[in-house]
Amino acid sequence: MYEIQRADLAAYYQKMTLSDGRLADEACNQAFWSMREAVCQEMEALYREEPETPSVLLKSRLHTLMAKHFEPIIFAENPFFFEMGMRESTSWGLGDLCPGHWLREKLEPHIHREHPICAEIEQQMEAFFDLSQLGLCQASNSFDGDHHTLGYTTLFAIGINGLIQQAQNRREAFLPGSPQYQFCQAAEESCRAMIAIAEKFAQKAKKMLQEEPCASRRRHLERIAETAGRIPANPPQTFYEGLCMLLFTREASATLENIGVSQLGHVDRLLGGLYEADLQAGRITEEEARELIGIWMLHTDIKFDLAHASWPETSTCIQLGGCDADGNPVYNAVTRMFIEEHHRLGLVNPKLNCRYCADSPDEYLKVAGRAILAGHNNFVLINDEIIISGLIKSGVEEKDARCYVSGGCQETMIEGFGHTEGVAFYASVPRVLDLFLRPHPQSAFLPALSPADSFEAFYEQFLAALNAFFRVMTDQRTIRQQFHKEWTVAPFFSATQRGCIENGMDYSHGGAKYNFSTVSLIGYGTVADSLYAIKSLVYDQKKLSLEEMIQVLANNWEGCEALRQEAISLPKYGHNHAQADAFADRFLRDLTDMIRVRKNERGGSYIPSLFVYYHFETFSRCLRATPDGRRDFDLISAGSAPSQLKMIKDVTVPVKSMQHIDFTACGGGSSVLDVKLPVSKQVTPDIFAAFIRACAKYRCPTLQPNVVSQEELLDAKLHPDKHQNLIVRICGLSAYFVALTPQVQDEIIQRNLYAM
Amino acid sequence: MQNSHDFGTIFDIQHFSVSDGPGIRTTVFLKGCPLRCQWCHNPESYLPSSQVMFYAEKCKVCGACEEACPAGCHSISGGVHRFNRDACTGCSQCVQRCPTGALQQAGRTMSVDDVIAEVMEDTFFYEHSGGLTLSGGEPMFQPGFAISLAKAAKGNGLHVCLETSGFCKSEYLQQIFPYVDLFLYDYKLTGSEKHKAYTGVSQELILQNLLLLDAMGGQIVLRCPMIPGRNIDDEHIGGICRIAGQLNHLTAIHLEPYHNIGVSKRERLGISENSQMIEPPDRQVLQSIAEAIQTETGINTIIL
Repeated sequence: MYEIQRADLAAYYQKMTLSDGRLADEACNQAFWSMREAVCQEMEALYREEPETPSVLLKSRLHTLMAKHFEPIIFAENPFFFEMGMRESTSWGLGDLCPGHWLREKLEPHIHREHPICAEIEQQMEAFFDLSQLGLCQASNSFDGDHHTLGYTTLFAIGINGLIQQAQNRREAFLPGSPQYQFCQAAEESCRAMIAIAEKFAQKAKKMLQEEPCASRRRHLERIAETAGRIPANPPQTFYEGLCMLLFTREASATLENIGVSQLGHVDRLLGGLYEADLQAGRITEEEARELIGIWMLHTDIKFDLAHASWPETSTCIQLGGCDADGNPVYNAVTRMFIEEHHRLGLVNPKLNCRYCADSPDEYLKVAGRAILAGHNNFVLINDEIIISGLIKSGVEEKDARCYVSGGCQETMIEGFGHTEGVAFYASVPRVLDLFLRPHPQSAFLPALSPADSFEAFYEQFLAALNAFFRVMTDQRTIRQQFHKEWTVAPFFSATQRGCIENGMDYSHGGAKYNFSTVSLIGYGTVADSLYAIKSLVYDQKKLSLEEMIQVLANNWEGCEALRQEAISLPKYGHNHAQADAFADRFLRDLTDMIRVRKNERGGSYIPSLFVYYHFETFSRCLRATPDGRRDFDLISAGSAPSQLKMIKDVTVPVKSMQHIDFTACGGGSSVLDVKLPVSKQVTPDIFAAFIRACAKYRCPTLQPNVVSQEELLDAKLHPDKHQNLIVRICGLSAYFVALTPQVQDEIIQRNLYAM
Repeated sequence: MQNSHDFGTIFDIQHFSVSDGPGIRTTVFLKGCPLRCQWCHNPESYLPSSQVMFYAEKCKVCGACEEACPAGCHSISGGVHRFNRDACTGCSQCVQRCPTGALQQAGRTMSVDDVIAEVMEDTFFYEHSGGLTLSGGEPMFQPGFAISLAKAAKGNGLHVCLETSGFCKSEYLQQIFPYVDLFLYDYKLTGSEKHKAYTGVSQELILQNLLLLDAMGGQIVLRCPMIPGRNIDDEHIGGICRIAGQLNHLTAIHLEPYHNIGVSKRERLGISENSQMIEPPDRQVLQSIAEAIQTETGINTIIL
């Protein structure tokens, strides 16, 4: 099943794949560039005529022109309409080729000329990231254009027509020509562009119907011709229309706005009622629904050709489970069908982000468990209580917090209430400690270490150093984004976010109800253990002075093996040791407190998070020896997991440890714990469900489970041909194991994943 | 005053145990065993006292153990570490000093309260199904301690399994009976002579105790190790079916395929007997045996 759909999509997206800066297929390449040219030329003309046009209106005009010039791509065997043919296939929204990128191309060089400080900041950020220099952090280019999700709940409630109505009504309240008035104009124009795009699909389908003899193809085309006129303008009335709304608005808005819409929606919450209504009315059968779900998901999977692509993952996710805005549990037939079809088709994308809590329905956990235990390593399980309570701490209203979703990896987003900027920057916390103990010529922004006669005195100094680092990072981003926000405007995306129309302000200017930015903290466990080692060896046991410890580290523990073993054998975070965990908890509070008070350029605060991506490996490559017993360049801890220095006996150890750490201190940011479950017939879906429920009660944060035997991983490295479909979950992504680099493969094989 | 039964020697506590009774369990392994099964995978459980295990591959020949040992058991000469176990008292001072983990202690004294405290840390894992399993060694080799543990676990509302060879005084089983929900009862071999030859003890007492527990109404799972060349034969399969037929409260039969982890443990303990390698059994063969037993007895038979 789906072979034809697969082949159809694959054939098209292979042509749209980038090679040497061009699309792989010459005909596609020419068509694409002439279309891009047409849009850009008209924009250039407009810009020449009215150079003072506010950027948000330039963007909405760009949308109108894109709607005018694009040529809809309809796949004959596919009932959905979504492909505008305006960006290379390996892009999920962000990308230079798409004409949606025009505003940035136009404004960014200008901003750089006018404000040389932007270039200075950029230079410093490069040095911060460069592993041969500081290797301290990685910042996205001042604003995270990825990790977006649309306000699907609003779109399902009022459709784009409803947004247009809101923008028109609100515009009346503002002074004509005022920025608020102009934003409402822009939002309205972009919304109309979206509807125009859908209508072009309807027209195209009608045209194709005139020449299509095949009955099954005619059925699809008739459906598209009928639906693309109604959706996305109006709220969906059926399950099929709901799926169309999600896929069309995601693809079209990512293209228009040039943003990464990583999260395709909380699908079971949004679609569960529509499916039930269809079923009751006899409009659909379960079999038909499953087929629609399968075809709907195929698209995001096939686009990227992950088995051969240079980058082994994409950020696309769907959200499942959890609760709705009123706190009612979400689990229904749609949840089950998405999980089962995903598993049955062996997909990598979209990744399955499942919310869980102590009260999650048993059947829900078992359905997920059946797929996971069969080795379908595409899941993360996100603890509602930690995220929702955390968001409330950050000032989010409870009913809004309950609507959270997660993606591209596990970054928290409050669906329909603003952009949480999933990764403003990744920070290597152990590198701050390293540079604080052993300064580098370029780390002068950190306060110098002065003699400390107690651990508390030392600890206060280190916190001050961390604070200095985060101040530099956040201040610089604020300065830069003050200018850059002109090209990050996104009037359609903003219109779907509460607050923007009300305030007459784009989300990039702080118009949304919530305006958070998220910082990903790398190496938390390594730093907690290192501080504990300093406390224990230097100050409590007085085995050596701090200066001597620094010397030992400078020598990479050479000649001090006994001391190193002693450092390793000290109590460590994540080993369910009362004192070590209590210290780590204190450190997490101190660390997150200093981040949460920082403000971004939109007036929002920062959310700290402990998730991983590749950076725990990247940053390890320049991180010298640490006081926990780790040698130069050895791996640091990942996410909220314990470090790998000391053997962890079984999976219950870190899980029980988590109850001693208050991860709500992250204010809603996701903290990720890898758990490896044994490949065993005795681990049944019942056991899995009981395990996850226990994890909720131990207040575990986000779980990233893997079920794969060590033997299979080893064999897959040696004989990739035999394991083409082996999927592993790592760093917030699911990927084909054989497509990963040998270094990352080794890391997966070697890392201490607390097997039984 | 503390009772001597409040303390005992254990050699491991295994968490997230899913093969030792229903649900997610914590298995406490009590040290000491009167049997010497040729295939034993826990030879560190033989002796009731603490022992030192030596992992040669981790040894850096640093000499720390030589300095630490009060009985002079460790010696380094010519870059080679030698461990004379005859004088070893299991004091573990060498273990404390070994920087690489090449020396490890098997066995530690724990109080009932401490064991139960550790077991109760897993309480959320037991909520759906699960609890405490007492295993060994032979847990009834420390009868007072085992009974105290089972009683305390029951007092904390836990489901309790006892994994036993059944080779102990009947009165001990009668005493622990009220605190045990399920007996995981070994049935290793059929025929007393063979039993004596391969395990070191005869089978009569074991069978007598099994029938006793059944008569008392104890829920029983038969646990049958499957050892190629020793007991995978028609005689024993028939024996399993016959004994199953005699029991009124048998809930399942577990076939436990042999694995050879015990061989390397023997080396680490300096035990030379029974260290020959046996090939693990063929899963397909076991599958057909399981099916045959289930067909014959009507009892759910699974391979662990």
